Amino acid sequence: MSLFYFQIISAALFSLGVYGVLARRNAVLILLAIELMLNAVSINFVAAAAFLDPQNFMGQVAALFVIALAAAEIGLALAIILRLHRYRSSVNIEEINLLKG
Amino acid sequence: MTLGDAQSIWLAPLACIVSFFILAVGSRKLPYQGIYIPIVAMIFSVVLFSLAIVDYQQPVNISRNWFEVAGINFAWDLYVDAVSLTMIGLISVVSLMVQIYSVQYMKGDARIGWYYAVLSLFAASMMLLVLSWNLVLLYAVWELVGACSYLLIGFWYERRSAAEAAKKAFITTRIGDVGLLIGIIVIFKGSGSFHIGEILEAVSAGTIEPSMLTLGGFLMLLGAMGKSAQFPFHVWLPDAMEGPTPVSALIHAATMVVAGVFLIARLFPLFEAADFILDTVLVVGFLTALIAAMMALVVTDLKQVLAYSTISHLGIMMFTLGTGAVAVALFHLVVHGISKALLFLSAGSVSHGTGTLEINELGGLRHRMPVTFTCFTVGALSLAGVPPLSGWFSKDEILLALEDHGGWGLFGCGLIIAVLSALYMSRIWFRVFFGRVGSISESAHESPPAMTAALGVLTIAAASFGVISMGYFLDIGSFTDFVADGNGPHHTPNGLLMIISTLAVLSAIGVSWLIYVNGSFSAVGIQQRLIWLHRLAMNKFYLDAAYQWGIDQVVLRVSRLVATFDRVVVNDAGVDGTGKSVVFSAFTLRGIQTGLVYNYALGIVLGILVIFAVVGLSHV
Repeated sequence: MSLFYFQIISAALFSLGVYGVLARRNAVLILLAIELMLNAVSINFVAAAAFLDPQNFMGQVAALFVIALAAAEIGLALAIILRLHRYRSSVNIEEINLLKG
Repeated sequence: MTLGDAQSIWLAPLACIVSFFILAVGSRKLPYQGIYIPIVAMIFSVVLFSLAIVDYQQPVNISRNWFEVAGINFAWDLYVDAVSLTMIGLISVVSLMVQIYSVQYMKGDARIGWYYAVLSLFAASMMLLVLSWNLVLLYAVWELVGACSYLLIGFWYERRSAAEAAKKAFITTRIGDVGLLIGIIVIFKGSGSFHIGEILEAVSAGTIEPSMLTLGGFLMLLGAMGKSAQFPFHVWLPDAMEGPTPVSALIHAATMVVAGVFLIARLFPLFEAADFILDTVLVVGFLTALIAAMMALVVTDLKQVLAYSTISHLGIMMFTLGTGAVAVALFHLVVHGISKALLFLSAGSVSHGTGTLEINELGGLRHRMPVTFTCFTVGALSLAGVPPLSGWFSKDEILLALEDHGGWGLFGCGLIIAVLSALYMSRIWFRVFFGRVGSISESAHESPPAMTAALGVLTIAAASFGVISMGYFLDIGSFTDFVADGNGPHHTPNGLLMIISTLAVLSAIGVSWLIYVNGSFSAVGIQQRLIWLHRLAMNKFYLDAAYQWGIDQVVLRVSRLVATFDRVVVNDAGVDGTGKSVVFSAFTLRGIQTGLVYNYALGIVLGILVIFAVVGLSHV
């Protein structure tokens, strides 16, 4: 077992997340894809900390931060999506272009 | 300092400035618009002058610090010597006479308070001009007298011609003044000082570089030529006759126009040390005197004749300065100032009594206006050079100086101008006061006492100044000795020259008597004989036309070009163009703001990839 495998998994997970953000049209699924990306980053942090600097737990602390952040982010985003659904009866982002220039 | 010595002379301009401010602010609230205040200030000045000239022993320097920049001290440097005292005397006496005269002449004018205010400001700045011993101060008051001249020429600005004449006078003299300003700076570069005393010391010590001296002298000469209406800057003076006649007498005959002559006299060692500047002065003076005298012979407006005569006499002063005879030039300056002020005021009295100045409409005024006739006669004959009036003495001194400097050739040049001077003076004298009574002259009446009183004082001065200043009768020494601090020219009186010039002048007057009174020769016949010269002189030697062409074809065209550049390049491209480019780019770039989340997301991802690519490649 080496750090490299963890990094491969992390990168694969992150790429999946990017693909999800770009390809999905459902706002809820895009949120899930963003969660994937965040988790990929967390894996990267924890693995790097465990292999390179086992004494200080810095990666683990960073992962905890990411989790807290993700919880806040998902709360806010879901609230927005709920409002969107209330007014437009849809969560398809192709129909939402209020910020068009 | 006690009141009345030479040092307290600075109170005279101060009094005039104070009266200017009082009138400028409150003339409408004062009874009679407060015109008595400047007259009182002027009387005060004359009294101060009289006390100072009696008390005068030696030059006095008055200096008060003004401000200091980069170690150079600018000061109120005033220098009271024989020259400035003489000038103060001329200015204050003529100013006083003009102000007394104007009480009647300008009576009923709605803005008479402002008129007196500016007259007062003019007197103050002119006195400061002749007193100033510092080139910065001199330049400041030099411009101030120009501004007063502008205000007074354009006093009746409702008349378009007056407004135009005021502009012309101001701009023409300004062209010369630019030269003066640059000249002052050049001299400062050369000598390191604005103080005239220090500059003259540097000149005599030879510490100024010769090329700088010549350049500075030439540029300052330009300023003098502009102010003193020398060829080719003389075109403004005839037009300046649009102003009220007393103003012409004060500013455009006796005082302001001699500022150029005064400047050269004041800085004479500088001009003398510079190469060929004095020769330029000589040539310019002669040319001016000659062509102005020719134009004075053909114009038919009384004031215009006097204006050209003024230019001609200013030319004579320059001519004399060119020979190095400063004291003689100053002598003629004073004589001419008194006589010409007298002539202008008499002309004003003629126009007051008849309502016209056109000499073809006048004639035979001798019996209708006897006082004016007497005064005009003294003034005209004095300037024509008839003994024993003042003009005869100064003319003789000038001819003597010319002969002394350049032999019979220069004497001949001077004699030609003297003869022309006698011709045009006697021409207007005969045409206006002799001959048949013109239609307008029938109803002519003599002017009121305030005007004739002023005329009388100047007449006595014009008749007696020459005799007195020769020092024959009173034990006061000669005028030329006085202004040169005892080093005046000591020409042995040349009886031959005196007889030649006097005979020439008298025969010129005789010829003009034959033409204009007796009718032995027809003036029209002579005109026909010399038609080309007549046409040339009538058209002012085409100088006005040439300037007009230059302004139309050169100045206005270049201005139009500059205006186009400003409109197209600076405004359209520079200012509007910047704004338009922002609007245009905004309109173009709004297309990428689709409002769709996945477009933005793609942008972020691609951006990150590009950053990775760049960073990665730069580390390979």
